[in-house]
Amino acid sequence: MKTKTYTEAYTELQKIVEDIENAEINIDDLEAQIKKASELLKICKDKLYKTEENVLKRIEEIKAYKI
Amino acid sequence: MYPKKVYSLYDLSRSIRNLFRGHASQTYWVKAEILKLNYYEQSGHAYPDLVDKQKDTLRAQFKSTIWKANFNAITAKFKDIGEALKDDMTIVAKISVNYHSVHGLSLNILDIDTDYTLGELARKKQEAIKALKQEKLFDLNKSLKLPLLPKTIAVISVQSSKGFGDFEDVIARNPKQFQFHYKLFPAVLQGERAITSISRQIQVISQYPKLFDAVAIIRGGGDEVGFSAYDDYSLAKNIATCPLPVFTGIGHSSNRTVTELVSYKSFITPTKLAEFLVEQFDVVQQNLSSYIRNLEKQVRSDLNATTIELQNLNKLFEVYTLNRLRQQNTALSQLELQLIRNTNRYLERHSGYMDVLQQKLKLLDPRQTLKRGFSITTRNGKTVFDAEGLKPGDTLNTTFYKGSIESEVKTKSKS
Repeated sequence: MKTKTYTEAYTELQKIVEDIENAEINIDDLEAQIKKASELLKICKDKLYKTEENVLKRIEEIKAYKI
Repeated sequence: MYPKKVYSLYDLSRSIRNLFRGHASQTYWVKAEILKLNYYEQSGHAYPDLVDKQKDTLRAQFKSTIWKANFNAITAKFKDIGEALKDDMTIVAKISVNYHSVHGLSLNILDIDTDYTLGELARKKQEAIKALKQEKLFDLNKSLKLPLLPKTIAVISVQSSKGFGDFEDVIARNPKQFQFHYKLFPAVLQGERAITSISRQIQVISQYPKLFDAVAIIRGGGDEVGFSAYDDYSLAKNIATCPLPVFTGIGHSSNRTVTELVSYKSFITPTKLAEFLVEQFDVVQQNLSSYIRNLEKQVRSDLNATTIELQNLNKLFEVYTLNRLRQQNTALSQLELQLIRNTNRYLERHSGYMDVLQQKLKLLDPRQTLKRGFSITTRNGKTVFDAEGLKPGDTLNTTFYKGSIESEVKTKSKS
């Protein structure tokens, strides 16, 4: 699977959640959609975690700058 | 006996004295020039040599006296008009004629008319000032702009004069070794000839206004005679209309001459003039140093302000970034929860449908009908819906809720 951006993954995930909520998903597709949703969720969580980690690291770097 | 009648010198003097006795009590107003004042500070008396000259020819000369009391009174009067008795001054004096057998003939000065002393020259001077003011020339040279660093000076002076020497000395020995350039335009600086001589050089210099920053007329040393030239209207006009600022350092201590009044700036000595030029450089240098200091201060303060701003921005950046991440975290968690909840609901809904279907199916089961006392009749394995087609003797199978039978059709009733 081509790597998605956080925004892409998040938007897609949102769509699935809405589709399930509005029962726009065939029961036959439910499993596949849930599988996809969990993959998207993993992408989002990974990205968010990595971003946070990097940002905190950068903030520490910035704090260490001598002005 | 000596053949001639001989008088003693004393007798002669006595008879001359008798001759003058009649005049002794009389006073006259006399116009004369003081050739030399001969004032003696210790005694307080003055013994002026009075002359009467026409052109350069001496027409009359007298010794005179001003006794201490009179001298003090006259000096006070002159002080009031900003003048002082001095050599080469033309006066109108109240005198009495005296004869002394030893000191001879002399004039006793009782009073001097100050009005006259302000005299011709002063009147001429005032006229020149008035004319220059009327022609709007009086402040013309002052209105010129002196370059920030007046470094190239056209000097009108005499090479050998003490004033020019003083000027060169100050310039050459200026402590910070500022570089000046000056060119000497030689001129006669005393007497009537000074008027045309200085004027001519000013006109020469005026042809090169871009070459020079200013003009300096320098005079110093020598007698204070023929100074009236500097009150001359035409010389003053030449100075006033010069396209370059004109400085004067003509070493004159009393009233300022018209030349000095119309010049850009006048100095009492050539030394003071040169010092002023050096001072201009000094001021610029000091200003520059202070600008540099201020610049440094300003830059430092700007840097500090920027640093604080940057630090604040840094803090905000941190806060905003972390907030943004937290928001995203929350949003994602909510989405996850929603996914789980929605899926559960979805599944619940679908299992509900199953229940209903099951119920419906249950209702459609024929056993349920049989249970209520209905039965199913078949012939040759096929369900019989209509009595037509059946004839007596046909074999029918009947199924009940419990068990089944085989029977034969006996009769057919009409439907």
